Amino acid sequence: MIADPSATRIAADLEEAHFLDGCDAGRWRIISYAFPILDFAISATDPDGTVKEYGFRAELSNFPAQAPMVRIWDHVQGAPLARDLRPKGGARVEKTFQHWSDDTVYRPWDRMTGLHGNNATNFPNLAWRPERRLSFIFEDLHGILNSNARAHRLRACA
Amino acid sequence: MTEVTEDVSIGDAATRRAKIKIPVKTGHGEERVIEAALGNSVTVILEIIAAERGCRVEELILIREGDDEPLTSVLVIEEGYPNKRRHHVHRAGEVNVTVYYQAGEHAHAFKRSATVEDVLMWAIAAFHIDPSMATEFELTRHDQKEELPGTEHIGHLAKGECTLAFDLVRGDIANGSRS
Repeated sequence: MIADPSATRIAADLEEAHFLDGCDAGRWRIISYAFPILDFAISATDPDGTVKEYGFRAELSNFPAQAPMVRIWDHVQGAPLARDLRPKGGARVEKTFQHWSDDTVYRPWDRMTGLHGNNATNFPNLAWRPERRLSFIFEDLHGILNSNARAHRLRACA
Repeated sequence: MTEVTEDVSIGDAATRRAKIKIPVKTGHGEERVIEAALGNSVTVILEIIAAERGCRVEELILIREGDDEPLTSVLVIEEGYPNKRRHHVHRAGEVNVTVYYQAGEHAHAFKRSATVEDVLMWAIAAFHIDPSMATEFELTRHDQKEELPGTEHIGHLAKGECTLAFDLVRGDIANGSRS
């Protein structure tokens, strides 16, 4: 049987040292994977400093030629996370996890967001490229979800 | 549990030494796996890298992800060694980091194992940016656009140099969404 090249590449990305390091450090974890659906969770810091995690679902068909399509996800309900339960924080947090017509994560590397409003062209530094690894989106989401920790720490030191 | 393989190339059972694989990061985007025999000092990793770079072992440091201090030669690799944790090889010494923001600049010396997030936190305080705005800022290399992962060690970005320059920028927010 010939393995799907997308599945092979995903398997390699999930074994990449940087990706595994994020798992070991508790920055993210895989909930389940059955090609092309990858369910995962990313640790987060709420504006009050509370540490929690948010679930996500990625659709990865034709990966990496086609960009991942990622939604913030309620794995209990099996649906996108309700709007009132989504991450709060600064403008980047609010915009990234806002509800919009396709309701994917609003970052230029996302399949739908990249096409929307010319975002992939306008933000090439954040657009998906086939040479990027899955850890790129995990790292990006983790950075945004923990930007509240920065504000919290600075206030504590003030 | 430590994943152990056995070196059978020697042939003599008495001299066989079990080996473990250790992920080692040697630079920005430079990752590899190094096999080390049980019973060796962990700094055998530095001996390998130093030989490749043509420098002395004393010119390098080895630090495990999440640790504050470098590993020393007294640490021996034994059964149960946390070999899944990423190890970082840096040049010894600090990095003098300059951060530019608008018309201003501030400089500070950091350990090479300091992260981009550590520098960002310092820069936000140094430029007296309101904590409520801290979530919006990122660091890029000076005069470049690509945002840098917060967990990256600045020693990897500096490579062998002793200086590094960043720009403090507002993180990009995609346009055109509909709430």
